[in-house]
Amino acid sequence: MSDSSTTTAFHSDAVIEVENLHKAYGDDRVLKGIDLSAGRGDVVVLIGSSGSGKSTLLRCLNLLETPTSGSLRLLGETIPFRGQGARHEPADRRQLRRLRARLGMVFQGFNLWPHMTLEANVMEAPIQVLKRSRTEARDEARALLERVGLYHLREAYPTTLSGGQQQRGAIARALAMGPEALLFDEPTSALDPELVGEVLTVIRDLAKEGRTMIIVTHEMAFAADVADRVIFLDQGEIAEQGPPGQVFGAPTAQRLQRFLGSVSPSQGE
Amino acid sequence: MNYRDMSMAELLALAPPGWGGVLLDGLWLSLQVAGGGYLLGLLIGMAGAAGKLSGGPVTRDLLACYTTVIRAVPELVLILLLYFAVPEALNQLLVMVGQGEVEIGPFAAGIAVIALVQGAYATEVMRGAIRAIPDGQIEAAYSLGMSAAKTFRRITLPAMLPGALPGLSNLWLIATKDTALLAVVGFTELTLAARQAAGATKHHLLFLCAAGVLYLLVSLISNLVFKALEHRATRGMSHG
Repeated sequence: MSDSSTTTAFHSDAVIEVENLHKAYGDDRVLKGIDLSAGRGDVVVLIGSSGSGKSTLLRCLNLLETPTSGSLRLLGETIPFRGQGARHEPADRRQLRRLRARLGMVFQGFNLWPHMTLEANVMEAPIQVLKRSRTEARDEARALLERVGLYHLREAYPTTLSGGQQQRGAIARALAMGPEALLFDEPTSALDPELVGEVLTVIRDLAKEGRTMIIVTHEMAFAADVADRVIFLDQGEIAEQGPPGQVFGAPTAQRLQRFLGSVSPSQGE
Repeated sequence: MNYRDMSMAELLALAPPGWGGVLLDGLWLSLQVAGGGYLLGLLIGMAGAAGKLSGGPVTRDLLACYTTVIRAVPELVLILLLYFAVPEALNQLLVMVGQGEVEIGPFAAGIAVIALVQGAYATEVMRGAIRAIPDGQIEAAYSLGMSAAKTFRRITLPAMLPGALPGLSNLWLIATKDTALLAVVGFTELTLAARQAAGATKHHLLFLCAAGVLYLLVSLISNLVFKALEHRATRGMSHG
């Protein structure tokens, strides 16, 4: 573990704070003491080779994975845990749901619900979780679909859409909850190369709005462009972090130099 | 009554001396028992599938016992057990604690047996269909703050339907035919009604064929209904 001097103490204004986070599946230690903090408006990009633990880290942030140990503070609330081993889990389900509703997540596989139209996908959580009226939710959904360029496809079912369209729809679905931070888990990795650009454009616009985002990606040019801070994960540890200019321009860790040498230039732009 | 000289139409007439009304009454009872048992069975199946997939070890073991035993024992045995043995045991128990006796009528026993049998099969059908749903769709619901119960109702159930409906429509057809087994406990459903008509008139071929035609009609209409349901459930999937 290296450079964690800026994140050792919990800041009251941080949206997401992680301290000494460990995650293991049996004997397989995927995350080994991660410290991470994202303040309001920060765009943090996680890079690293596959198996480095970056997706696992992201999924720990909204507790889709339960950390083995370490502390986690989301939107100013500390997450209490209970139970041991396989039954280790967040202690307060209600708190967990409340916090998840305020943290949007966009998945590598889009994960739109196939039995609903695009518009219904976007309306679902605001109606079910935020108790919005149908009319209100529909207006909001249409505005968001308009924004990601899918208004004309609002009645379409997800499987009839391209990957890029599905992912933009999934972003609209996450935005419909009015999230205070967005988590992106390799949002373009499942896309054909020619569809990557349209999704990155949407994410880039969100970054410009000053949204708090944590993004796992393999698109290095995109990372360099949107990130306030780039974190390089290697074998479950933060091997290097800093502003993109420094991480990409003057990498100090040898592992990072090797990694940057191995990834091909971004094809997204 | 001289049935020998009556025409087919007279024999099948709804009003006596025709036996058509008796057959239709039997059909109606069959459908009620099948429908009631099937719906209860679906509820059992849903709970069973949810329990098998996300229950604790004790729940899972109990459900495994249930589905194994029910699917292994012939339904006829289950009917006899529930109609004769269970009330007897229940009443011995009730007498011991100083309560009056209860009687389980053939209608209730029929619904209970069909529900138990259907529940066991439906548990397996739905478990398979739920497991075929990509985890990501459930995770997406959780990531938006939806509770486990809401996710099951709003996402898991409808997403599972396309995979479950073929199996569930099969189960419904089996349920309608299982009602015929209730004839052994003297319940005048369609099969027993047909046998009574046949016995009284000595026109066996006519009335057993008539019963067969009624069962066939039920299954043809059911197929249409399930086709429509499947079409609805798979909107936006393969055929847009």
